Amino acid sequence: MLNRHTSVSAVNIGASTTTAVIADVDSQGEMTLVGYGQCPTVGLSNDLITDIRGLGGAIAESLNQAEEMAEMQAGALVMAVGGEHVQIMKSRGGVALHQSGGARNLRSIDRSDMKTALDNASAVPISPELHVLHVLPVNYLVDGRKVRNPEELCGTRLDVEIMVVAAKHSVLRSLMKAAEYGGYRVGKFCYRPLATSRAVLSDEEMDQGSCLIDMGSRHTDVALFRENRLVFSSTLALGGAHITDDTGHLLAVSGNEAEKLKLQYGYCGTLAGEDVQFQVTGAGAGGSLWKMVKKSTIGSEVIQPRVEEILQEAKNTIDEFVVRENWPGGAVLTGGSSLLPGMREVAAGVFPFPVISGGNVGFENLDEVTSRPDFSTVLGLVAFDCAQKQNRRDDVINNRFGRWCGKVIRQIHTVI
Amino acid sequence: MTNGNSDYSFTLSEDGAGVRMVVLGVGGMGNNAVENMARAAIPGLELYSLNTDIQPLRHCRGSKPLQLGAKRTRGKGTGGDSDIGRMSAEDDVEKIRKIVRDAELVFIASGMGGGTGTGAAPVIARICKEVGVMSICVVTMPMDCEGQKRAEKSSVGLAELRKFVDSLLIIENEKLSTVMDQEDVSIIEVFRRADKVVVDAVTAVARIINSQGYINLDLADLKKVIRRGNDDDCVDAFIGIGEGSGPDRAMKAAEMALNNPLMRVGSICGAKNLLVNVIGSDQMGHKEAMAAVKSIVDKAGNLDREIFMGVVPDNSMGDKLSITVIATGLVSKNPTVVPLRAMFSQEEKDLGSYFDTTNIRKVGVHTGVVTGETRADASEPADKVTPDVDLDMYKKVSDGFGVSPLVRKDEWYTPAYLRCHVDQLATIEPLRVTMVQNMLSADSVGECDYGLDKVTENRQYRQALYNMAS
Repeated sequence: MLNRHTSVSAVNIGASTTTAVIADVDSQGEMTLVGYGQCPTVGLSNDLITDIRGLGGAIAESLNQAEEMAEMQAGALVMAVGGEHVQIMKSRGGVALHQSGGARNLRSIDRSDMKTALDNASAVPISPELHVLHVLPVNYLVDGRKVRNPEELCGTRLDVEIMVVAAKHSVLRSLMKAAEYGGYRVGKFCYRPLATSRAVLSDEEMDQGSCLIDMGSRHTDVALFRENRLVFSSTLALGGAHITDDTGHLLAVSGNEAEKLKLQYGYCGTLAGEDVQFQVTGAGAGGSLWKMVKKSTIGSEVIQPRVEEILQEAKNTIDEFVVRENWPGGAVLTGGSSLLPGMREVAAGVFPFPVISGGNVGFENLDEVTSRPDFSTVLGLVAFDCAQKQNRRDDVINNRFGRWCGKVIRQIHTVI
Repeated sequence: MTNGNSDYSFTLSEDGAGVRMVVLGVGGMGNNAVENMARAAIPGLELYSLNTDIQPLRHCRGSKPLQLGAKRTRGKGTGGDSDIGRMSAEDDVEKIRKIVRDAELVFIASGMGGGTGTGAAPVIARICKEVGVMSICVVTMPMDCEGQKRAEKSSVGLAELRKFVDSLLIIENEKLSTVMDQEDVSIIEVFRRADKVVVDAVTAVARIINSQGYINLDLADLKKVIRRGNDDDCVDAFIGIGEGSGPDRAMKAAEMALNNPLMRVGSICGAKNLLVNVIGSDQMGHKEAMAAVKSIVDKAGNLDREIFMGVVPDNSMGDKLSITVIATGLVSKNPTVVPLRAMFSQEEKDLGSYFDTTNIRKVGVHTGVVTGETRADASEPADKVTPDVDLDMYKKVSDGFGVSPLVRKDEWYTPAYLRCHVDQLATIEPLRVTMVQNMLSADSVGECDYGLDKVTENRQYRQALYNMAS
């Protein structure tokens, strides 16, 4: 079947940085990064859009950087939506598997049955304000028994428990409008943890079960994946910005100064290296008041409690689930704020399973910038888009008309 | 101070000041505490031991015994059943009422977790409330090794107590092992240490009432501090006595008074009422005493409150200086100290709610004990775990709206280091206040005193407290 060589452009609007990536996808489905860009987010405050043109400018800036590097134009964007704007609801539906001719001729389940079951399950009354982003199957049940993959199994009835992820139209429209102000068009939205998981979790991790902790600057996503499916997700309104603000609060310095100090001297857990002293200029008296502050003070007094709080709250959200399900896997830490030295160590102490810092997988040519956890969401958006296109192609091929079309087109190709 | 009514006759004390204070020790722990008080010979107290089990009552020497539920338990105790404890107390309501009826102040000492203490103490507190008598309850909470059921029972008993009692002091037995962690300490010594807190608390109050100060605190002031306010959640209290001698004695005494590692309420930060009584010789320094009082008040945070201060000249103290602190109206959950720069809450207020936030609900529920008193470990026995993925967390909402995965708590807006643990709260905010004030008011240019050195010095001490709290 003919696969087109396409490019995918993705943008992730975080609370502090807007990241954009343009990738080339070849006929085999291999993704190659060709351009990336990053710039500070403007016009987003407390998760609400306050300046739509400013936001458009930020999107444009990051995409311009990516386009310059890629030397091509960005097409329709894939954008991540997460946290507050999203509504998740569950539903369950089933389909009867009709037998023809009695027990001897039991028909096995095929993809169209699964699709029908999903259609039945997603027939929930959804408020007109909401736009459904994803219909995610969580459990398949054949005759009431949970199965991993119902394809080719025999049974009387196929049920599926799904998670419907929806977002408000108003929010999506505002984001699309912001992109328009920047001169771009948004083609698709994706739920943020779903996207990040595609870039960070390996196949094995997705399969066996793992927890994804994406620490942004104002939000931390906590999501549980198992058997390649999203099983639970939650977002905390805590992140690196809160750590910065705490530091600024103690030292009585402004936000930018606090951010610089945190990046330079911040750490949590045990101090690696020398306990340096640095100078902090106090407010008032024309900037002539200063004090030498020790690095260990900041790390252990201010940053440690906040980091522990974030991780503890993350643990609290998944606690019930993990205990109930006897969660087998570990956790993967990603996101810009996870770059704080010692974060993994503290997380390992908080969570009852092993925690590793996740790198970006699935792309061939990541350089040292794009392999940072900042880029995990936006690379995941690219992977998500590719996978969705692949699935659609598979679905098209798998019915008889598609197969006939494919045959015809191949014959035409041999002629031309 | 005399209350003008000299018709009272006192049964146990000879030099009472006209105020009738009754101490009821309920259950095994309560009886032990009352015996210790009898040994300490605090003037002005009437001591009673109440129990369903007749054995400890036989051995009580310093206090009057009262058997609860004689017919029901036949002197054999409740067997750990707090319902039997409660019903035994209900059986003898009249006797208890006769004891507390004309008292000004009633102390109830009991250990939570067993039968008599957990069941009977709330009944006694209820009787006191009905009669109109002020009650202070001192309870001990069981250790972790005593198991989950005991912890649950204690929490339930505590919740019951909270409904009726005016002030509540909670001692955590679990913290005993960290406080008395020497290798060869005997078990009796360890439990005596817990009893000491009870005795100290009662002594502190008795001393305030009985002694005549230059700036005098009397029963009315005490009532103002201890009496339950309108806010039913805030009955937790803190009582501490500290003593110091030699140089820096006032600050030493203040620090000792505020350092009570066994109590659940570890710091007085956020207290609605504060009472400080300073006892020393005639020659105690004004500056040192005021500095100590100021440090205590600073630690309590900058709420708008009335502070009761008493100064008692007592020449028998000699070189020693003693400070008593009573702080009430604390919340058992982490108090939120008002931050100096509440940047985030301001921002949110200004912007208002752009999107409809009514559907933001918390996903992921703690499995905790009934009252939410302690966050019991969310571990269930293995046979209850279902292997299938259960989506019950996302409730199917029929109006077409789902659940937003976002969790947002107001308390996250204040810096975590100010809130981390109740025990850990005390030192940083007042230091930071001083630091900012120093900066803004300094006339000289150059290095300013941030007070951060104190923060690091205290770190080991607070690390120990943190370990105790966790």
